[in-house]
Amino acid sequence: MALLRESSKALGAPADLAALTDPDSDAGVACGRLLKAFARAALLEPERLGEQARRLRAAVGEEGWLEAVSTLAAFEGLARVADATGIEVDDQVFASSVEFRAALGIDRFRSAANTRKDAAAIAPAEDYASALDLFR
Amino acid sequence: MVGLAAFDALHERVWAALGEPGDWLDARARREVVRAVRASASCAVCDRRAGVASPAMARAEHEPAPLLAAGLVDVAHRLTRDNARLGRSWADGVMAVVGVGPYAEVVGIAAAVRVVDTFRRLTGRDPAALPAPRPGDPPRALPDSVGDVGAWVPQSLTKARANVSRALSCVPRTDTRVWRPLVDAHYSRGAEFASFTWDRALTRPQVELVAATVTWLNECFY
Repeated sequence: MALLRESSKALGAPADLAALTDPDSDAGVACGRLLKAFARAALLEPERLGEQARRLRAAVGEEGWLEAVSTLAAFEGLARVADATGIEVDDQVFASSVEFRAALGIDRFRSAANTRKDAAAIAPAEDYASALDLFR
Repeated sequence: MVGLAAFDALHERVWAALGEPGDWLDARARREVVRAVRASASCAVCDRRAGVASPAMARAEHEPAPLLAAGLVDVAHRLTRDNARLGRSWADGVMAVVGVGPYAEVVGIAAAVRVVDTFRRLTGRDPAALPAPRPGDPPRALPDSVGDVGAWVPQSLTKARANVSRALSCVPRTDTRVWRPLVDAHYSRGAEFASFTWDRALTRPQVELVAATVTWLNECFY
């Protein structure tokens, strides 16, 4: 989610992270409602998947839909690797995510227990974008 | 742009790598992990466990796999069906019996299968056939370069990469031949990752919105 915030800010249209869980909001991202609805259908609502896939394809095209499928599949794996290896959230992401974690109830997730840090004790990065290089 | 044919070719390479001896498991045992992941979809034990307040309240007697310890079968099932409720005490208990290396290898295989099977499902295809196993013995040793950095499993001691990027560094064959190629092709794509302007069919914020939604629905703190 930190990357959603940072990338949308960099492109001049900050996303509304607090609206991530609101199905009626696009969260400030083009076609956001359709992207979120497709992801939800893919994970939780198989009876709606066909309809949501058709709507998303109509909006972003075949290549855009495939990009969404590719990303969705990757994060189905990434979430599981993170959960099962018990990794801590990296310092800069942790320190800069206090507000949206609280707004979205993320601190109540069971895997929150894996990160034992004090956000206030982490010095902010001078250049957050450069911290992205860690994730490659 | 990475098209469907390129993804299919990647997945064939990953599947071939799953058919090779791994870090701790031989190729036949790795194939059993793939089978266990898929069996979890219709597993009565997993169904029962989903309905109780704590996963520890349901006994983990899944359909056995002939070449896998029961604890590793449970890892494959829980990772697939109940990943939001994994806890350190459970993982430590499993690893005390089966070992940290086999645990991490099953995590990597199960996650990779989740990626490929999800992609094929959403693109309207049946799951790929089980990997064809090749003979050979795994090294069965942890790399010298890993240690305790605060996660449940040892990780690379260098902080040159984010924790998620080194999460499976204690099982390097699984990490470099199976897991990381998938993440790179499906999402991060090498040096492109450090840029907020992506030359893709979706903008970076659109991609990250999908990522954030999936992460949130999985109740993943990371």
